[in-house]
Amino acid sequence: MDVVPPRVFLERRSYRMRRVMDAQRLMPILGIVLWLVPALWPTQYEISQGTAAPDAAPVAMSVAILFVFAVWCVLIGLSAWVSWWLSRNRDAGETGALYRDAKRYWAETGTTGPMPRAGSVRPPKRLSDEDAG
Amino acid sequence: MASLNLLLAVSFCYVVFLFGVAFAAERATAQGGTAWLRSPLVYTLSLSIYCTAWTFYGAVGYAARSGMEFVTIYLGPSLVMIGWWWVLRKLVRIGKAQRVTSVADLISARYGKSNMLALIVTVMAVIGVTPYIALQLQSVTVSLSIFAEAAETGGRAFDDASSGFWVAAGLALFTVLFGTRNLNTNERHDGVVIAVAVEAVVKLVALLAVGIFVVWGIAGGVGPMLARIDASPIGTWEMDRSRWAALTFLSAAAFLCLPRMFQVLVVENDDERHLQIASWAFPVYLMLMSLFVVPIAVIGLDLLPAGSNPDLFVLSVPLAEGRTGLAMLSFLGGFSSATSMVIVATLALSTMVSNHVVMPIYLGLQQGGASVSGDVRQVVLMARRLSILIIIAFGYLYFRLSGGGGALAAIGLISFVGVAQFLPAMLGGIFWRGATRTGAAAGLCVGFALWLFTSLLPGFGAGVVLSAEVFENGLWGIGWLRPEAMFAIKGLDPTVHAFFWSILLNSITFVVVSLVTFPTPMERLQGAQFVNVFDHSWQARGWSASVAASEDLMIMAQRILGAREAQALFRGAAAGQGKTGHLPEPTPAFLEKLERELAASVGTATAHAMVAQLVGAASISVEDLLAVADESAQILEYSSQLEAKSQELSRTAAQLRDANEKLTALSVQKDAFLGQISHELRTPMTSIRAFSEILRDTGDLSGSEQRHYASIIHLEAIRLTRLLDDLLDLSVLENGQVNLNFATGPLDEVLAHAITTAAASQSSDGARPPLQITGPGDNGGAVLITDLDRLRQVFINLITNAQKYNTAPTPQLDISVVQSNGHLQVQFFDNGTPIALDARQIIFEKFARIKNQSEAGAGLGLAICREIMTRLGGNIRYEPRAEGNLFIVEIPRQSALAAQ
Repeated sequence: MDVVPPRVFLERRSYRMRRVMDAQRLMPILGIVLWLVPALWPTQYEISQGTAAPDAAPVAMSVAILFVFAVWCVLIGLSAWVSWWLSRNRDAGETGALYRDAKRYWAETGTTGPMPRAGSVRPPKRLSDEDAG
Repeated sequence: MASLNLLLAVSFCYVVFLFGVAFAAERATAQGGTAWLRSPLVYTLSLSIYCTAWTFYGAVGYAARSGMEFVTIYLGPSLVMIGWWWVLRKLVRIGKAQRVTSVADLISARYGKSNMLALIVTVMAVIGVTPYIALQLQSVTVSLSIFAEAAETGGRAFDDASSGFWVAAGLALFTVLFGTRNLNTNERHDGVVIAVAVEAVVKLVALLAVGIFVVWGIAGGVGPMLARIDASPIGTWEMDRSRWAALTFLSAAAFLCLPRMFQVLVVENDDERHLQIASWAFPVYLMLMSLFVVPIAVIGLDLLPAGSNPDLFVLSVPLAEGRTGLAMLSFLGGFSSATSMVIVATLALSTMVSNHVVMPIYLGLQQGGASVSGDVRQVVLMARRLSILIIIAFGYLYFRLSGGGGALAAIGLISFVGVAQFLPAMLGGIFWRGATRTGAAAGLCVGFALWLFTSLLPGFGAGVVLSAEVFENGLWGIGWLRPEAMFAIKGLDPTVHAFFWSILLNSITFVVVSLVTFPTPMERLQGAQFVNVFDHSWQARGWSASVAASEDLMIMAQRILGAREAQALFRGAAAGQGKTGHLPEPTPAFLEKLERELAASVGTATAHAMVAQLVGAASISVEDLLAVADESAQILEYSSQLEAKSQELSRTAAQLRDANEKLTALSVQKDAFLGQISHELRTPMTSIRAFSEILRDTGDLSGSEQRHYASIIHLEAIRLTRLLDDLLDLSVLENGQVNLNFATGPLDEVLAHAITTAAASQSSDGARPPLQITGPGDNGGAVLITDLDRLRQVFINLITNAQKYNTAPTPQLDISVVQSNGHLQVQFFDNGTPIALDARQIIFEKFARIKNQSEAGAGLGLAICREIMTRLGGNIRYEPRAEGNLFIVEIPRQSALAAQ
């Protein structure tokens, strides 16, 4: 029997969510590194002056265009996926539940401040049910 | 062929359409059904004002000149958007929490709501953005002129200046109409945003249409197009590496700092989640805008005659191919790019100018400040409209004066470097709590000065503003102050050079000055609010409104927010506090909310000042707390002084009370004295009168009777005389008018004389046994220098008293002389009844007579004794003993010792 308790499943979910957020934070760094690659390419001027490496060949403009736009597409794709993943999981994960609670709390109280700690508002009923079960 | 008139008609229709869209959006907002107006899509499209006419026309020109370098201008913003989690998220959150209305407001609010900083930023922004606005006017007129040439209308010459003027006037009209309809910037300019979003679609569609036409219509597909690119003059990779990196960074910085970008990114943002969608959607937009730039440039270079303006390839290529409709769409795209930029930029700048320049001056001129009569709301709106007209006029003037020269991209970059100077103060402000107002101001000024010197002024060319001499030899002949080779480092690209040095020195100045200066308490508080915005987004500094009357606040709020909105706000707050009616309690929370609302209209600094005026400047900022603490310290000190004074007073009062008691006692004593003395005088007088009357009136008195009565009269007269003598004596002694006759003599002689005298006066009626006196013993031989007669008088008095009052069966008096501490004590110890306790205190007072005493006496004896002894420098005191009384006469040391 390989029963995964739901609690653990949820924790994995929120862990994954935090890692996806990390990915989102790291994305611009990836972009900077990739878009700085063209700065490493030998230029036509250097080749004609002979200051580039002996086997350096000029990079065609079409390649440059394809590279820059490919990086653009990759970054956009990754960013869109992360954005989609986060918005989908926001309502599912533990954080999402908290967020939902907070939204409800804000709507009810008409405030936008921090919500009282979950423990203080949650009725103890569920806990005793679990104990009974 | 398209006529210029047709183009103008189409443009006019397009403008009418935009006005209609804006009106419809405003109406939809007013009616409430605006969900689609605030969608992420609209937000993303509104960001597209980043792509101005510079992008639309200039990017192709840029690509035709420098290949792929143009793309850096779009890579920077893409990186910023993709990295939204780092900076934009925080900016948007801060913008909402602090109700920030502009980039100047943000920086001012961060550094303790300093209007000085806001003013610096505003001036810099206006100077930096004016060329950019001129650039848009230029692009529209130049594109019109292309049509004019193509149409060859002949007779009528195309006039750049007048078309520029009409474009400027139209833009000003649109901005005033839709930008200043409502005052609260946070209520979003829905009409403007929707118009901008529509224009974003138009320009994207136009550019894509031209691109698709070029790639598939002219080149014949993607493959042939790529081949054609490689074969073109820009077919191989040619890149200045420093420019590639610097321009990417510069465009990222400008994306954050440009007033118009801040307006759409932060101020017009409705929901933080829109930012998350825009984080990938806006890069898509930028990518699509850049996608066909190189193909259009390559085809343009290929098809058009050498010397054609590459900035206008987007128009001239379709025109050259005879695609008038496409060219017209392209023109509308360029027109859209230019107008949307000018509208939003002007709106953003006018907010800054009216909030940070006009309103402070206006409020400063009005003595009463925020509580002056008249509608401040109207003043703010007028200030904003005026600012819009002024800014557009500046742009137009710049356009006329610069003569439309220079490539679009170059002008744009100068602008970018200028606004990028806000970056250190901005990022430092939201990430570093140690950043101070002085640091920010110093950094901004240094950066701005360097930008003027290395970028803006050289941009006019040598000999226009800066002389060729300065270019060659540096400012004031200092070699390392050359505008294009600062610090004698030559060979840098001018843009990279200006950007590098201005941002570097700006940042260094900002950091160093921040490190060495102290922030004001307000700055520290705001700094914490900004840097830790995610921890406590909604806890701004508090107001204490003990003084603020809600009514005053209401009156002020109505002038700024409008009567209905203000009333709704106040009623809502009152309801929130559980009160009915219009006026809520001025709780700190409510005042904070009110200040935020006002800040959205007139800027944080002004709002703060206004509320401060009405609340009586009772903001509980740390600054004020410190002031309060100082005050408390002063009050404490003052109160301790008061306490000391009051203690002193109570001491004085106690003394006065004592004095009063003494006076009262003296008064009582005086009354008693008068009563006593009259009694004492009357008794012998009565006897004398009675017996003298007998002697006078009774004729047949025997000789013995006569003698008896006469002797009684005589005795009473003696007694009267003695009494008067005593009184006189006492009075003389008390007044210090006594003359003492000092003489030398042995003590025992004095004593013996006194005993003899006393014994002589003893009543020998035999009623009581005579007093047994035992002598002074050995110590009696001391020799004294004193008034011996007076001393003897004291001794006589004491012995006489012992004779009179000793009621013992065998009365005894023991006289002894004791040497103590050099004093000579003469002790008179009798075996009589001890004097009662309450009487002991008064026996030395005048007329003090112990009650129930048979012996008559004036009660002056002991009083005289005390006065004499005081005059002689000694004293006399009474000490009770178990059996008997002890009177001690103390003769002072020098009197006794000197004689020995």
